[in-house]
Amino acid sequence: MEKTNLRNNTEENQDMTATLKGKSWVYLTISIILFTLVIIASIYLYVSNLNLWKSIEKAKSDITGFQDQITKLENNSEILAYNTVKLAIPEIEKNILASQVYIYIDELKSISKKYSLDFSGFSYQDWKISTSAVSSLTKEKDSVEKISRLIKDYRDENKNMFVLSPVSNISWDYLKRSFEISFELSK
Amino acid sequence: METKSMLYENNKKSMYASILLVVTVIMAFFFTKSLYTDNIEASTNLELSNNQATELKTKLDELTTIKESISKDEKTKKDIAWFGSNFREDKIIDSIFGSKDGIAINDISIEKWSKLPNWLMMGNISVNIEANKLDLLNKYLKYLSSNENNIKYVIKSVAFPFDSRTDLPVTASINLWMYYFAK
Repeated sequence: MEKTNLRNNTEENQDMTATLKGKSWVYLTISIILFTLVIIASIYLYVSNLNLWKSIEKAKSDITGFQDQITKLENNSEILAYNTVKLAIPEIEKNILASQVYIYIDELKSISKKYSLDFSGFSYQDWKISTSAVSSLTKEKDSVEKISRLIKDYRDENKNMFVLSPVSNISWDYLKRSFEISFELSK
Repeated sequence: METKSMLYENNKKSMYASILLVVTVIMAFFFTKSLYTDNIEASTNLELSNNQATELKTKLDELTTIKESISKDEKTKKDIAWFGSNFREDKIIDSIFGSKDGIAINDISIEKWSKLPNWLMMGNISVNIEANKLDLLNKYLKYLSSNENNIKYVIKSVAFPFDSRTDLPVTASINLWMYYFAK
């Protein structure tokens, strides 16, 4: 009986020892694996950081280079002038177009022919043309008619190059009717 | 005896495993974690730097394109020559005297004015001329703001004793504006 108990106890101890031995190996293996993983991760992160810092240095060097070149170009007079002119061109071209005085002189000559009026004096300033008109005919009726026709045409139609400013005074000088006339450019 | 020895071996292994585990945890906490944080930060910095570099490169390309177009595009070159060049009295004189068939130029006065809202500068030029005929005066006025001139002027005012009945020589006063560029 005692021998059987002793044998049983020994067998139990052996089983326990075997279990403990198995568990220890698992525990140790897991520790080694974890340790290895941490080492690998650390090495990976270290190398990755080195590469990242290298790339950052290169990017910073590129940025400095670009900034220098940009500063140089931005201070270039031709480029400064180009940017300024490009923005202002529509306004400038509009002003030049509106100041084509040679066209207005020709138009005045056409008006003179059309209405048989004589113009004397010419002044152009700030998109306004001023002159004196003389209607000289022996028959007063015809002379007044010419003036009236001019004023009527410029009041009724709005397709003309000029807009006739108000005519406030027509003077009579025996043989001719004369009045100051001024036109503004049509918009 | 054998059991005691095996127990001792097992305890030794457990001890080593525990020490290794502690070392692993310490290393992960103090070293690996710091490397990881640095990695995140460096990645963010690199992205920002790359974005900045890309923006600057785009801007540089735009300016380079402008520079090339200034040197190659005829219209751009002419626009700058007409409205964006330096204030040079010799160029002004060359342009005023550039086309004077039947025109005698008596006086010229040249004046620099101030900066305009569009950042260009304005110059004022007054010219007194004598023309043999009205048509020649007209031709000269056309020339002053034409593409043939090396400076394109805005004709601000013109005054002369116009007589539609005759075609005698005329004396005219002309006021011109010119645009130029100064830093």
